[in-house]
Amino acid sequence: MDFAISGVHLDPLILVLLGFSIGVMGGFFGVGGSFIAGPALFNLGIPMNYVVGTDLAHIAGKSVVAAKKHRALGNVDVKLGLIMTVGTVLGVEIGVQLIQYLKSIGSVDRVVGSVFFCVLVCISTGVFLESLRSLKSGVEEDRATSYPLVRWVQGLRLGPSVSLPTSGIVGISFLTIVLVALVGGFFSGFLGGGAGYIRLPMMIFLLGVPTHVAVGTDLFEIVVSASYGTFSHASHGNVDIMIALVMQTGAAVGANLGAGLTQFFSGPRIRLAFVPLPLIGAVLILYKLLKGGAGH
Amino acid sequence: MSSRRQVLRSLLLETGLYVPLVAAYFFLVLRLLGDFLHDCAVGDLRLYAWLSLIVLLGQAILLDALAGMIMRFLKVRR
Repeated sequence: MDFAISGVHLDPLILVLLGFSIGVMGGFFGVGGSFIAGPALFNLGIPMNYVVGTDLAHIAGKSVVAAKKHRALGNVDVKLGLIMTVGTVLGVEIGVQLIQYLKSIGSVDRVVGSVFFCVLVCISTGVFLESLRSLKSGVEEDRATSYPLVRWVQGLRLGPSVSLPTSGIVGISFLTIVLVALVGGFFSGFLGGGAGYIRLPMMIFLLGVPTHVAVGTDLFEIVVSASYGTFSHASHGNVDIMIALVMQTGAAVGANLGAGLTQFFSGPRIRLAFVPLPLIGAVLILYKLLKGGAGH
Repeated sequence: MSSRRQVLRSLLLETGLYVPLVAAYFFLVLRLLGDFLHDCAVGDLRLYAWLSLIVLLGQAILLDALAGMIMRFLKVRR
């Protein structure tokens, strides 16, 4: 079938299956799945600017539903989320403009592909080390708030200070929050997906937000970054909405199944099982880069 | 029957009900929206951007409502 917007010819069933697999992984590991979706779309021959834009669009829909569920559970710090929106939107826009620049000089596949590869290897290594530590110690308590780095960040006096009662933070600089959000937004606009892999650890280990609140607020931020990113990328002609819609139908089925399967495994083991997935994405990206990109 | 088997059975049942419904919807979307959205993407990118967002969020909410409905239905039948 021809997907006329991006000008690629693809079997829609492959997209449904891809969406389904990402849905299962998303439901099981609690992630958006852009670490597999992006590389897989790139390998199917879709140019990198469409990969980024379309992946964001696919994530936007999923994150709204997930954020709604976390809001109902009281896991979203709305005040923190609204402050972060400033940085997120700015960061996404910087990412989108950088993609536009790379598109204009014909380097989008190579540059985005290489950055994507490095980020995926880093995620995989980070999760591997963290889950090994958890398995060895046997504890999974929320200790990040007592880390010296968190105390130092919360002690910074950059501009006005705000209190975040939902997150249990007495005072933190407004600008620090915006900067953390800006970094997450940038990765979202530049690499696609929700960029929870960078925003979530920063919220926990820099801002000192408790993990369950960080997860819910991160999802709230993903709604913002993915929705704004979808709009901005679509305005620049980087989104094939039909591909995103087809993938989303498969993902909706898979997410249900994945979430149900978590009942059979423990937390650290789930995270350990996650380790090879970004590496698979990295290998897919590397393979396509060595073959010469999407060929556009 | 053990609780694990029960959970697995209901998951498979849910998926079995969900798949044909979603597949039917998917072909409907492809047929009805494909040409219209392509024309928008070619003619007016700003309109295309707004439509993309609305269609995506709408579809996500619709599919979630469908999944919720199926789960409620199965709970009644279990």
